[in-house]
Amino acid sequence: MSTQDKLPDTFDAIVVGSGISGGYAAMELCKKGYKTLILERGRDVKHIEDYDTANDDTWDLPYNGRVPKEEIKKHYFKQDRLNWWVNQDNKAFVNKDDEYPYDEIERFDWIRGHHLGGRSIMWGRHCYRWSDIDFEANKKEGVAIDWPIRYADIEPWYDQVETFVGVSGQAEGLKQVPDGKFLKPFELNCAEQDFREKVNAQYPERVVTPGRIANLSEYDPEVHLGTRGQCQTRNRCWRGCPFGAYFSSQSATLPVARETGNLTVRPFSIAAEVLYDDATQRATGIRVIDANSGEEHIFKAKIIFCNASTVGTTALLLNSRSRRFPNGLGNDSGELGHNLMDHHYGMGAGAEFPGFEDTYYQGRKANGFYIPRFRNIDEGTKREDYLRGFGYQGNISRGRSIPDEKIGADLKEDIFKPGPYTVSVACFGEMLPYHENRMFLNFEKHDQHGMPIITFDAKLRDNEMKLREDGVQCAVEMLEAAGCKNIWTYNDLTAPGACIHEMGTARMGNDPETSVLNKWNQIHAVPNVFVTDGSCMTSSGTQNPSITYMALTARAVDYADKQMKAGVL
Amino acid sequence: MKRRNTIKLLTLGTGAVFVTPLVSGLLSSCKSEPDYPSFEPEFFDAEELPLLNAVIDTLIPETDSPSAVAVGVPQTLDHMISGLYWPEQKAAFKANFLALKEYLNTVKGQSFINLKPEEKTTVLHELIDSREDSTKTARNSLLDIKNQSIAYYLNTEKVAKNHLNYLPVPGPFLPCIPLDELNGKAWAI
Repeated sequence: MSTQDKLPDTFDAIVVGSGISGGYAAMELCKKGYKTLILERGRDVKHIEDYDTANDDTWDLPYNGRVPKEEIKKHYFKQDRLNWWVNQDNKAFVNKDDEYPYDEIERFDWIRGHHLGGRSIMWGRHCYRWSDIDFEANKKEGVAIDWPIRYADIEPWYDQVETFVGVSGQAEGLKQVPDGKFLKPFELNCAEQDFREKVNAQYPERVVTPGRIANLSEYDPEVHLGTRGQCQTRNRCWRGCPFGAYFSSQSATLPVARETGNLTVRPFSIAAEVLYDDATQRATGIRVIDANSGEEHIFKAKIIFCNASTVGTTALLLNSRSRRFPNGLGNDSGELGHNLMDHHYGMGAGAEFPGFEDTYYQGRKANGFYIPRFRNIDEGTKREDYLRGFGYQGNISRGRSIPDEKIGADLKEDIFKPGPYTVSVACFGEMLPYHENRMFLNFEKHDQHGMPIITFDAKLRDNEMKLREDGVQCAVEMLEAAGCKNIWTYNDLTAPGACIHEMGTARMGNDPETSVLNKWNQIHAVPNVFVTDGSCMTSSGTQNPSITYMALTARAVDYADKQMKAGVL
Repeated sequence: MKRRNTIKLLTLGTGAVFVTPLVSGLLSSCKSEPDYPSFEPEFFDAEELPLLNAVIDTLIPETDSPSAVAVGVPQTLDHMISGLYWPEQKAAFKANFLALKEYLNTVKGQSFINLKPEEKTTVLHELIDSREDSTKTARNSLLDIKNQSIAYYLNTEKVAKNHLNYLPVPGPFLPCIPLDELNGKAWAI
């Protein structure tokens, strides 16, 4: 900590948070010559060196990788309510609930890890572009407010970001998920390819395509800067990758930022407040609480990027109260903390996929297939019963062979063979922005650092429920089209947050009276504060959102730079 | 199992049906409980271990690959239930296991562990094939133990590396290859 105490107190730019958008903001700022401070509230995580479980096999991990219930009860009683997220191999990157409390009026699965790199270490890595179907939806349907941008505004930034990130995928020419700058896909296996063809024959608008993921199927050191490498198809991404084969802050943005000589990272630094100056009507810096010593520090900068995650950023702004902004920085509209969204899942279908018994695959590709949204994308696919749509992630793979009727030597002959192919299609639905769905701070109750307790009050509503039923039905139709056997379905409602795509609580918009941010992700009334994490989202789409956060971030930094150079900021 | 094979070989070698004193000794030792590795149980009662060992040894015996008992599956099962089950799940497992114990120790009029290996196999087969309501709980318990045992067996380093296809760093993904090229074996991980 002694080196930290010698830090200068003034920087050109401060980025709060080091996850997928914070890392990107810092890299872009550093590349443009700004002395940049990253404030990270958690511990440092060093690329490769700190991926403790990266090479562990199942038998190397306690309890074959599961976490005992006593430990769940003590530390992960909210983080593990999904019953799949907390495991021996990734638990070092999951917050302990007893150390990081939050409250719920309605259940909210706020799943996160406070450490350098944030959830860029454990993210799902799926990358799908938004289209104007998404950007125009609110306006066309009279839902919430209009997005202040369209696809044309973000398209060049998708190009730039995808190229750097390295997204493997297959071009399909679909209007609802535009093609991007793709590396070669991790191909569908033989059963998945058959599924694609059979579904397509009966439902031409339903496209089974290889998942578009930020894993380097082709590594180009000239383009994939940082500490990157070829994907070895180990499918252990969320432990941290010793090959740097998937995109994370650690593998990509932070090393590039460091290379410039402009980056300073301060871990254990809880951003408590964005300081605001009435005279200049600008933010001046950040008040920081050192998580270890409890001491307060103030760091100043000309530009501030808030990338503390949707909930983290919103909590920071809500806690930044001044005479000018008594309800939180930039909260003239009263929308800060409202319109909380996520995607919802827990619905879908599965089945036995007959055939292909004499085939297999080699390697554990870190994706399966993706079926982009096909409802409400034009007049022909319009639904009367709900708005928006859903996509699917799934896979077809050979599991274990466990014949019920056999025992002894007969059984042993079978268990070393692969079982039949089974297919899983998991549906992910859009969630509408509802003003009533919100998070807020309870100033009467504090955590161990003296920060007010974050409280959630959000739930899925009627549109989501109807969409879910159709999502299950369509999954069954596709499995039937493919000739599957023993189809099973499920529709188990997830709480908001469970998809770990929380967004919308500081939304962008044209009108300062109904939105927090303008079309450049600037706080309307405080132009030197930019918010480019998920809180900026005006609707949720069906796509996995991280690549959009990164594109918006690169775009916002470019704009901030131009404004600085023009002397406006 | 090795002892049983020894008897078979002796019989084949001599072509004889008579039993020498030596072989007779071997036979009688088959009836007594084999030397299973001992461990301090976390979930099961210590006196239940011989039965658990005998059941798992019958389900996954030694062949050209090791037996489940030899790679510690009973201990793993005990450890997993102890650590990974909520109290109500433990209670449910225990209740089912009691029914299994009761069935196995009464169906042939003597303790399961005292049966000959062939008889043990027959008893387990009969239970698995049974569709009686009265044996449903015991059967479910047996299938549960069987499924878990297979999973833990295949997840041992010894079995995974020697009897399955183990490739920790696969490299490029090959989407569709003949199963024969992989010796018809499943991937370990």
